[in-house]
Amino acid sequence: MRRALILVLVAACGGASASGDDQVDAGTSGDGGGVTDAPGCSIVLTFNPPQPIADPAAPIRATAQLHGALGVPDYMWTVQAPDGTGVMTTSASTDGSMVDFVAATAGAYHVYLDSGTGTFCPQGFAVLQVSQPGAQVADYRVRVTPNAVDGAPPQETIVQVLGGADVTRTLALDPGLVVTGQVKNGSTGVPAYLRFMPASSPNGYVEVFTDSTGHYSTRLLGQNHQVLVVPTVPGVAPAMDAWTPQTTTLAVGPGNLVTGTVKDGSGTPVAGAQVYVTGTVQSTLATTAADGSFSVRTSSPASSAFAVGVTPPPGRGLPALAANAVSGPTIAIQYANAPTCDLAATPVKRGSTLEPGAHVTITGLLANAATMNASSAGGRVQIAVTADGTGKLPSTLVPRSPLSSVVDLGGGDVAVASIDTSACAAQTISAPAATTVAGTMIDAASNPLPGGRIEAVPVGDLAAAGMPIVNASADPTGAFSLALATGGHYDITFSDPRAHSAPLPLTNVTAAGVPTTALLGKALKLSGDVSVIGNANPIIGASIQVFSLTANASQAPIAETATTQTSTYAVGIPDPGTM
Amino acid sequence: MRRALFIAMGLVSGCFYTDPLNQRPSIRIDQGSSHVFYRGDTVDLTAVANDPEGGTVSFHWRAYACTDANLGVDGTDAGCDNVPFPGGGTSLLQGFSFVVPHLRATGAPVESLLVFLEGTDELGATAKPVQQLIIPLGDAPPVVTASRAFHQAYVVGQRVDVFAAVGDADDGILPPPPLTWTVFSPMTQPTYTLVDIPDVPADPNHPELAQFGKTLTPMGAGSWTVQVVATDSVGMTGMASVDVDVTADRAPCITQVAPIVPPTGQTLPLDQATLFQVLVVDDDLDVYPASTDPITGVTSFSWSLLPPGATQRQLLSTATGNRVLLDPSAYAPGDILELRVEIQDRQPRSLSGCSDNQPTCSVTGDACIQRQTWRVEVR
Repeated sequence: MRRALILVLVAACGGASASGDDQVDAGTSGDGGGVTDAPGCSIVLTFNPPQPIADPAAPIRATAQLHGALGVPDYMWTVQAPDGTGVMTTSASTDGSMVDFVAATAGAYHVYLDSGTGTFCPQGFAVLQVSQPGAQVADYRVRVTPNAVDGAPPQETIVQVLGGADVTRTLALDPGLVVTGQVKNGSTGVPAYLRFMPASSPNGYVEVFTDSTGHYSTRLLGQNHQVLVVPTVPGVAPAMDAWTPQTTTLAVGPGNLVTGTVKDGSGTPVAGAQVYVTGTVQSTLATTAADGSFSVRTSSPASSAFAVGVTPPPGRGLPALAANAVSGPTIAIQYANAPTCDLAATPVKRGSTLEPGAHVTITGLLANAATMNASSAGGRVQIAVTADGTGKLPSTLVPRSPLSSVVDLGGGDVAVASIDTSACAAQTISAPAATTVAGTMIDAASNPLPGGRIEAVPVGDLAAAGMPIVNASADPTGAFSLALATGGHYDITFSDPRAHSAPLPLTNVTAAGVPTTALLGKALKLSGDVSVIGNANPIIGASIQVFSLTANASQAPIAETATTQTSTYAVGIPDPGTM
Repeated sequence: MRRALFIAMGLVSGCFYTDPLNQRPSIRIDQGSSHVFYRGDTVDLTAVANDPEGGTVSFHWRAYACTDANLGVDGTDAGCDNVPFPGGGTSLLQGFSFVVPHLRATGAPVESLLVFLEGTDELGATAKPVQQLIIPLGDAPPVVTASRAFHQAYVVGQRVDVFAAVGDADDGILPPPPLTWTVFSPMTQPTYTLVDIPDVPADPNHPELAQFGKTLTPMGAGSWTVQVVATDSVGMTGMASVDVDVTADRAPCITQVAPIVPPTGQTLPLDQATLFQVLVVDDDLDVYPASTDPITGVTSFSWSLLPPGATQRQLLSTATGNRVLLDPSAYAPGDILELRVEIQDRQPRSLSGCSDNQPTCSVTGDACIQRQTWRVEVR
C-alpha cells in the first residue's frame, strides 16, 4: 500500500527529464553544471563561475533548481574536494538553494544535494572541474567501444582537459538504435561492407558486413550518418550514401564508366596495370588489357575531377602513379620516357658477407613520372625482389634515380641503404647491422619505469616496404633495448602501460634520435564511470581510447584502458600544464 | 541549652565539665555496579562516610598496581608496587576515578589492583579500619582481523598477500601478541609457501593495531583458508581467518578487436592505413590494456602475415604489442592478405590443436578465442 502511494506521488510530480542528453558525456561537468534525472523530478545544479579557477579567496556559488519536486525541499549540500575531504559550504540564500564554497586546489569537486525525502527527488550530483590558475587547455577525443551485450554503439566525445588537475568525466553512452536495412542495386540485394560514420564524430564509425542478400542489422547513434558502401560483387560501384534513422535501403548501382589507357614512355600499352579513380569514394579496380585500356565504375559523375592511382605490373621497372584532379570520363595515362636500370647480379651484403634470400624492396619517389590527361603524376617506386642463393639480385628493372633499398634479412633484422641507379653503374646493396639503442625509461616521478613500453612505427622507406611495428619493453630496472633498422625512420612512443606517466612521442626519428634516457612527462588522471543510458547493468570490459583531436585511423591512441567490473575507468593523459 | 544541661549535671554530680568524646567516622567504598575491569578501563569509586558527630570527613585514596593484590603492598614481583601507581593512583576527593594502568613499576602487566581508603573527620579522628578493596582485573583477548589483497582473481601459483592486524588494548604498550599462522589447504592438499612480508605499515583505518603480512603462494586450486591466532601473555587468544578461492589459470580471451573481422569468405577493404588492434583481452592475470593491479601482467601478442600470393605466414617478430599498422600503399590494389594475431598469457598454451587455416582458435573450445584473423583486400 505504501509503495503504491509512493508511485502515485511520483507520478503526480509529473516533470519531464531536464536532461535530454544523448551524448556520451551526458550529465557531468566541465560545463559548470549537472543534471540528475528521475521520473517525476530532476535537480539541476549550476555553478558561478561555471569554469572556476582554484582560488582560496574567491568562493564558488552553487545553485540548485528542483523541477517537479513535491513539498518544501530541504537543501542539504555536500561538497567533496578532489582528495575526498569535505568542503565547508556557506548558505547564500534564505531557503538554502544557493551555497558558496571555496575551491582552494584544482581538480574535480563532487557536489551533492539532498532535497529531503518529502520532495521525492533523487540526489542531485555534479562534478565541477576547478582548474589551476593559468591552466593550459587541451582537447582529447575519447572513444568508447562497449561490448555487444552492453547495447550501445561505439561513440566518441571530446574531453577538455585543463592543465594541472585530474579530470573526472562520467561517460553516459547513448544506446542508439538497432537498425536494419538492405543494400540494393535496383531491386536486387547486394552483399557489401558498410562503414557508418556519424555526423558528430566520423572517426567513431561502425562497420558491418551484410549477408549475401544485402541485409544488415547493427546498432547506430540516432543521428545522420555517411555510409561507405563497398559491394563485394563485381560490376557494382562503391558509394557514399547518406543515412538517417528512417533509412532502410542503401542504394548502389553500376555507377558511371571512366575509361582510359596506360602507356609506357615509348607509347607502348602497359598491360596488367591496376587502375582506380577516386571521386567521392574509390571506384572499382580495373586491370589494363593488352592494349593498355581500362574501365572503372565510379559512383561519382564520370566527368568529375578524380584522384587516379595506377599500380604497374611487376617486372617493368615502372613506378606506381598518383595524380589529383584528373578529369574524366576518359583518362590517358602516359609514363614519362624514363630509362630503367637492371639490378641483375647486384650483391646484397652485410659487411663482406653476401646475404642469400634477403628480401629487398627498392623504394623512392619520382616527380613528373607520368602525365594523366594534362595533369602531372608523381611516381612511387616500390619494387620487391629476393636475392638468390648466392646473395645476388636476379634481373630487376628499376627507374634510374637516387633510390633507397630496404633489406629484410628475416627475424626483424632490417636495414635501409641508399642506392643510386641514376648512372646505372654496378651497385652493391650494403645492409648495415641493426642499431641497438639502449637506455632507461624514467617515469614522471623520476623513477625507473619497469615494464615501460616502446613502440616504433616505421615511416618513410620502411613503411613503403611494409615493415612492421617494432615493440620493446623495459626490464624491471627500467632499462630498454631497441633494435632499429639503421638508416630507417620511425615514429616512436615511450609509454607507461599503467598510465601513471604521460607518453613520450618522437616523430620521424632514426636510431640516433632515440634518447638514452626516455623521460616521461606528468600524466593527469582521466577517470569516471561508464554507463549506458537506460541500462542498469555494469559496463565491463568496454574499450576506452584517448586520441588527439586530429588522429586518423592509422594513429595509435595516446592512452587506452578498459572498464572495470564496477564500470569505472581511469587512464593517464598528458598534462597540458600551466602557464 | 544542651551545653548548660551538661554543666548542670556536672555540678549536681560533683564532676568537672569536659568536652564530649569525638567518635571516629566510619567509611566504606562504594564500587558501583560490579563488573570486570580491564587494563585501560576507567574505574569509578566513591567513598561513603558517616561521622557520628555529623562532621565533614576527608578522604585519602591510594591505589596500587599489583600482580596478586592478596599479597599486599610488598614490593615484590608477586605482590604490589610499593607506591601508588603514578598518574592517578591517589586522590583526596570523595570520588576516586582512575584509569587502570597497564604495567606495574616492575614492568609486569597489572593483573589486580589494591585500593586503600582512609577517612579522617575534621577533628582528626581516623576511620578504622582503613578500607581496602581488591579489584581483580580481567584479561581481554587480543583483537585480530585478517584480510587479503584484492585481486580480480586468485590463481594457482600466484601470490596472495594476507594481512593480519592485531592489538590487545588492555595489554597496553606491550609488544603485540605473537601470531600463529595456519594455512588450511583444499582437500587435495596441494603445496604452498607462506613467506613473511617485512615492515607492513598499520592499516590507516586501524592505526591502533599492529599489522603483519604473509605472502601465500598456493600451488593448487580450491578453497584455501589462512587462520591467524594471537595469544597474549596470559594465554588469551583472538582469532581471524580469511578465505581465498584459488582457481587454475584460465586462458586469455580476445574480447574486442578493430577493425571488424570479415565473415568467412569475405574480405575487409583496406583503403587507408589502418591500425589493426586487439582492444581488450580478458584474463585472470595478463590483461590488455594493463590493469592497475600490480600482480597482473600484460597479454603477449604474436602477429603474422600471409602476404599476397604466399602460402606460408610470416611471423612479424618485432611486433609484440597489441596492434600493427597495415598501409595499403605497401601493397598493390587487389592484393589479398591475411593478418593474424594470437595471444598468450604467462602460461603458454599451444594453439596447435587448430589448423592453420582456421581464422580463430580457442584452446577451450568455446567463445574464448586466442586467435583472430583478418582477411584483407587492398584497395
